Amino acid sequence: MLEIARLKHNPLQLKMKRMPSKVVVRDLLKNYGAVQAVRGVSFDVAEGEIFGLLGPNGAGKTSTLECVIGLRKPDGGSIEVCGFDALKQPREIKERIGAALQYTALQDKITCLEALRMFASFYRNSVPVDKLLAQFSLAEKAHARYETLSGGQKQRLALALALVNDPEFLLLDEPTAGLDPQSRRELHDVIRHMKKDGRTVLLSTHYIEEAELLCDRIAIIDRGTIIAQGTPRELVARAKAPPRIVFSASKKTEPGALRQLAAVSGVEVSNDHITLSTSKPGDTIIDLVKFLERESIELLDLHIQKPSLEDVFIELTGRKLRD
Amino acid sequence: MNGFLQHLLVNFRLNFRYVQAFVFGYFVPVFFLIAFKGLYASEPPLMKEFGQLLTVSTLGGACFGLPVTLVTERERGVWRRYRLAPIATAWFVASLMLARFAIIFSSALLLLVVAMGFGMPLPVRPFELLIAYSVSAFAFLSLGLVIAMLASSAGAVQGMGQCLFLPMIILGGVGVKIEQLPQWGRHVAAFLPSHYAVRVMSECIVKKGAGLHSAYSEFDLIALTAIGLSCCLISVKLFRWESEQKSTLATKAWALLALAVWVAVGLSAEYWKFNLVGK
Repeated sequence: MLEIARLKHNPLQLKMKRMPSKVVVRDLLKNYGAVQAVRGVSFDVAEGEIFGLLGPNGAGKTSTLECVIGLRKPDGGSIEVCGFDALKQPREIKERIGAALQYTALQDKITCLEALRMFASFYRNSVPVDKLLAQFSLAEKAHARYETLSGGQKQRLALALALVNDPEFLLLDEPTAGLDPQSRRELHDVIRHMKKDGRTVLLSTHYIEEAELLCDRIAIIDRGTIIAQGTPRELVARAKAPPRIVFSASKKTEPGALRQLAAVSGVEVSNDHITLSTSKPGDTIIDLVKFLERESIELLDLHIQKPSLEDVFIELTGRKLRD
Repeated sequence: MNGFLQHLLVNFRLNFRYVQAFVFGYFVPVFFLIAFKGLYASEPPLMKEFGQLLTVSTLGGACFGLPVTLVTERERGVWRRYRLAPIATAWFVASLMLARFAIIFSSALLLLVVAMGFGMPLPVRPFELLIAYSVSAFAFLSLGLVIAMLASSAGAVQGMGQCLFLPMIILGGVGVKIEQLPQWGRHVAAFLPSHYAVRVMSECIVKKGAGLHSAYSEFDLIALTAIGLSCCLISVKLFRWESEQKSTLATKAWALLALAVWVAVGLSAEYWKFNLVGK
C-alpha cells in the first residue's frame, strides 16, 4: 500500500527526451453525483507519441477522455489540447482533434460515403473522402449502409471519421473493444500508421497486450486515479514479481522437488503446465533440465515469462485488471 | 455553412429510406384527405377543409416525425458524435428543422395535387398560403423540438406527441370544424395553436377569405410565431446531445416558460375575442 501511495503522489517520470506536449491534463476531477469518477488525474501527451490510459472498466478512463474532448465538463483541474484551453476554446480544439468514441453509432441508413462527406463538411480543413475510404479498406463499402457493416468495418469507419479533418491529435476510446482478433490486429496497424503520419494519439484500453504493443507511454488508472505512468518497459521494470519459467513435461512432477531447484521461490501446478517463480532464470533452467534428466522425464515445452503490466497492476492494486 | 447544408441534405435523404416515413408522411395525410372528402362533401371539393388537412399533416410530421428521428438518433449516440464537430448547436437544430420542413412541405404538395385531382381549385392566395403554412410549420416543428428535448425515448415521444396531437386534432379545429364545437370547446381552442394554423391557412385558400390582411390573420401569425419562437429558443436551451443527460429543475422551468407563452397567447385571444371564428 505504501508503494501505491508513493506512486500516486510521484508518478514515474520519463527519462527520455520529450517532444513538446500536445495535451496537458492537470488535477482533473469529475464527479457523477456522489461518485468521484476522476480524482486528480494529471498527465502529458508528447507530440507524436501514442499515450495509453490502461485500466479496468469503470476506472475513469472514458470520463477522462470525454473531459479532454469536451463531451463532459470537468469539476476541477485544467486541460490544454494543442495549446488551447479545453474549457475556454472548445471550438478551436474540435477543429484540431479527431476522436473515435467507445459508444457511437451512425444512422442505420446512412452510407459510408455520405457519413464521411457530411463529417468532412463540418471542418475548415478536410481530407478527400476517397483517400480515407481507400486507407481504411472501405472503398468497396462506400455505398453500403451503416446497418450492413460488420463490427470491424464500423470501427474502421469510426476511425476514418476521426481522421476526416486531418487532425493533429487523435483520441481513441477503447478502439478495439468487442472486435474479433483479426479486426483488432487490423486496427492496431491503422493506429501504428497514425503515429507514422506524425499524429499524436491518446487511447484508452483495458487490453494489456494492446497497451504494450501500441503505446510509447502508459498511465495505469484505477478508481479515478493514475497509479503509475511511464514507458511499458519502465513500468515492467518496477514490477517486483519475479520472472517465471513455464514448462510442461511428459510425466507429473512433484512440486516439493521443484521447490528445491536453484533460485526457485514458488511453484504453481496446473493441468498441463508448471510455473516456477525464480530470481535467476538461467540457473533454474539448468537445474530443471538436470532434474528432469535424472527422473527420466521428457521436457515438452519451456518458456520464460517476464513480469507484465498485469503484474504491475496486481502489485499496485491487489486486483487483476479484468476483475 | 457547408456543414449545415450537408447535414440538412443527409437528413432529408435519410427520411426517404424508411418505410414508416412514407406511411406516416404521405399515406396517412392522403387517407385523411379521402376521409374529409367523404365526411364533409363540400363544394368546391375539399377547399374549406384544405387548411385542416395541411394542419394535420404538418402536426403529424412535427409531433412525431421530428422528435422520433431526433430521439432515436440521440439514443443511438449519433448526436454524441455530432457534438465533437466544431459546429454550434443552433446550426444542427436549424438544419434538422429545415430538413423536416422540406419533408412535410413535400407532403403538403402531394395533398394539393391529390385534392386538385378530386376537383379542388388552386388556393386563392397561394403565396400568402405559403407564408401562413411556413409560419404554422415553424410553430409545430418547434413544438416537436421541445418534445424531443423532454422525451428520453422514442416511446416517450409517442406518449407526449399524442398528448398534444389528439387535443389539437379534436379541439383545435382540425378534425372537427371549430363551428361544430360546443362553446367551451371554442374557448379551449384559443389555447391550441392548431386552431390558428387552420384559420390563417383557410383564409388564404377559400374565395371569401381575407388572406393575411385581416386582424384575425395577423393575430394568428403573431400567435404562431410567438409559440414557435419560444419553443425554438427553449429547445436550444434544453438541448440534449445524449440520452444520459438528465433534465434538471432549471430545464423543466424552461419548459414551463414555453407553456406560459402558449397560455399567454390563449388568454390574449380570449381577451381580444380572437378565439372564435365569429366573422
